[in-house]
Amino acid sequence: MNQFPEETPGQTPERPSEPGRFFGNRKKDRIDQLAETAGHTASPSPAGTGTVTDTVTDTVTVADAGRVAGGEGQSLIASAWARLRRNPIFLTGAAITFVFVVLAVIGPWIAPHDPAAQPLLDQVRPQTNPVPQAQPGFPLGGDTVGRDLFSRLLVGARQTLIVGVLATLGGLLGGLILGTLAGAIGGRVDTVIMRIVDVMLSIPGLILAVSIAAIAASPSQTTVIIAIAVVQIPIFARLLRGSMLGQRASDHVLAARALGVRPRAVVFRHMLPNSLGPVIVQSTLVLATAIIEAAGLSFLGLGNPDDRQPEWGQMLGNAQQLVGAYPHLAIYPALCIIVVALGFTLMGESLREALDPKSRR
Amino acid sequence: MLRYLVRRLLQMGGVVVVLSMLLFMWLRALPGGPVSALLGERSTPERAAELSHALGLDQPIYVQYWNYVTRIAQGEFGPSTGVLPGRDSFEIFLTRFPATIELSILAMLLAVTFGIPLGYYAARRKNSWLDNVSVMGSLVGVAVPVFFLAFMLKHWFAVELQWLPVSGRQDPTIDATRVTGFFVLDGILTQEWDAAWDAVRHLILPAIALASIPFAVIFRITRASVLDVVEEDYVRTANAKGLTSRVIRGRHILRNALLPVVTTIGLQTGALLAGAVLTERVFSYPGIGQALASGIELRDYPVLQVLILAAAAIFVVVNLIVDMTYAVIDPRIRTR
Repeated sequence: MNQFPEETPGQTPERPSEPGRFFGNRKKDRIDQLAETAGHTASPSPAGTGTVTDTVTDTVTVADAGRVAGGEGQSLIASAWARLRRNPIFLTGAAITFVFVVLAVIGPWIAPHDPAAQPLLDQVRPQTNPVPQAQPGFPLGGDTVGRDLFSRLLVGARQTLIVGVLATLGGLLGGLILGTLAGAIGGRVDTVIMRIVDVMLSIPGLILAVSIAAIAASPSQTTVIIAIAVVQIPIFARLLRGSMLGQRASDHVLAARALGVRPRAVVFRHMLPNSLGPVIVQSTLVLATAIIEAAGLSFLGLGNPDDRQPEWGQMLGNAQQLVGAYPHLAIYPALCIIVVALGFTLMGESLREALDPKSRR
Repeated sequence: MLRYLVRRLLQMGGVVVVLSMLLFMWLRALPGGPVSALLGERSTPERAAELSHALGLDQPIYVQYWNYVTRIAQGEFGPSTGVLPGRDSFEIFLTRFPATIELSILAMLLAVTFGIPLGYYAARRKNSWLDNVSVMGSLVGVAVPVFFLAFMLKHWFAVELQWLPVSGRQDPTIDATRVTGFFVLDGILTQEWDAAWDAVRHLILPAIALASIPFAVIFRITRASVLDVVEEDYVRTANAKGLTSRVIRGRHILRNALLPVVTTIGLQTGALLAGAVLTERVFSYPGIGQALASGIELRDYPVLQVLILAAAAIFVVVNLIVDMTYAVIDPRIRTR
């Protein structure tokens, strides 16, 4: 049952180079390899005993539902957490994320001006001075319609977080449904779903997002979120299916079946919770790409045209006309995006590393 | 080997079929339906009815799908409605295509020539300053939006320092002979060195911006892969046998470590195509990415259709080629 590599010396848990059922194997193999780590975070333990409460992320709580008893006397999750707590990369990422989330919550209250008000409008001269300069009370100056840039950046954290989280959740939900269906039912359903997923993976992400966003008669925040979410569905679906298949072959599922647990309960209570570890790691990474892709869509004119509620990607995309003369209009929102994306990436990568049993040595 | 190829081609056929269905559905889902999408602003009720009949929209859906497939198989996507009104969309794609190929090849070359050696040395000197700096750099590289990087490069090196041209593919005052549509290649073939050099200068900035993502990915895969391989038994054996470090590096480490890198390169063509849409727009570089960007802006659905299909097709074909290469390098794959 126990699949820790330490117990099978000289053998890495990953298949060296699984060959292609299909083009673009590497992308899929990487997803599949990540899926395999699910088997390690999970084990036949009393499920649903999520006791760790001092968690920074959901990962620990959810994965903790499958706390490993055995191994080296310490569960993978506990040892992962112990290492994460002292990992400067993880802490940096977590700190950035924390500040970002706090800013998203309190932004509108600490902003010195209303992001939609135009206090500097009388200084805007379309020909001679399209962008008001920095001045007392307006540390970064204004934008093209006289709104305070600094306030818009502060308030923008909220919409940015909303776009990122909703897009990720949408992709996660879609992937969860498809992946669970494929992994739990198997057979023909599996084949059909995975073929469609493979085709979606074969279209470059941004181009898929663009085609979806183009369907909408007029772009809006919702179309941006939907477009980005759909792009993430195949990744999550493949990931989840991989870990579900691993779960299906595992002993605790066999035991549950043998005890006569109903198939639905086996799927939802035994297989699904134990498959979620890598999915949550992936979500952290997807959050970063979702924010960047939202900026890309705005840049291509497929973003939300209503800019009363600021969003960093939209601010960056809309800055393109003036970026030559006023690069700061693009630099500030871009810096915010880079820092936040970096924060999520650092957190996701260190989580992935910590949950990978190979790195336990 | 042949059996492997045939099997892969069959799988590819399946992908193309599903893809064509998706595109067919996409066209029907467009605002106002396919007729107004294809006609654009020049739509009148008579023309709409005419086109409706010509497209067979009054026929059952499977007949429509079949007609659609036969049309696109012959490259008939209809005239452009916005990017270059009246011109055939497929023709627009063909004239723009070499520009993007040129740009992507240069970007990929940059990413590979810097990514692989840096990944190797970072892995061999794990936790050194070189390793830490380049790992951090690759993480930042992924976090920076491609078009923002393009903006900044353009601002610094083209506008402020004026080292390189701001936009375009070649200085329009240069009277270059066109042979293949690949400007650099044309210049070399016709021995118009100034034309070739000018085309290269126009390529440098967009290529650097475009290379940022594949570079970061290739670097990280190389590094991780070298770290894995170095711990393998055969490397220890090679060391124990007293082989020179050069032989170990070339034959034992790199040869095995580069296997996953090869597939990653294929996979990154997708990122290149997506990045090209953004980069080409910033530098007004007349490739398919810019056509796609203006196609979106102008709602030019015939052109969008060609380009989306082309992007997917390129991605699929490149990955097929890469997988074939992979099968040549790694004999284990052929046997499965």
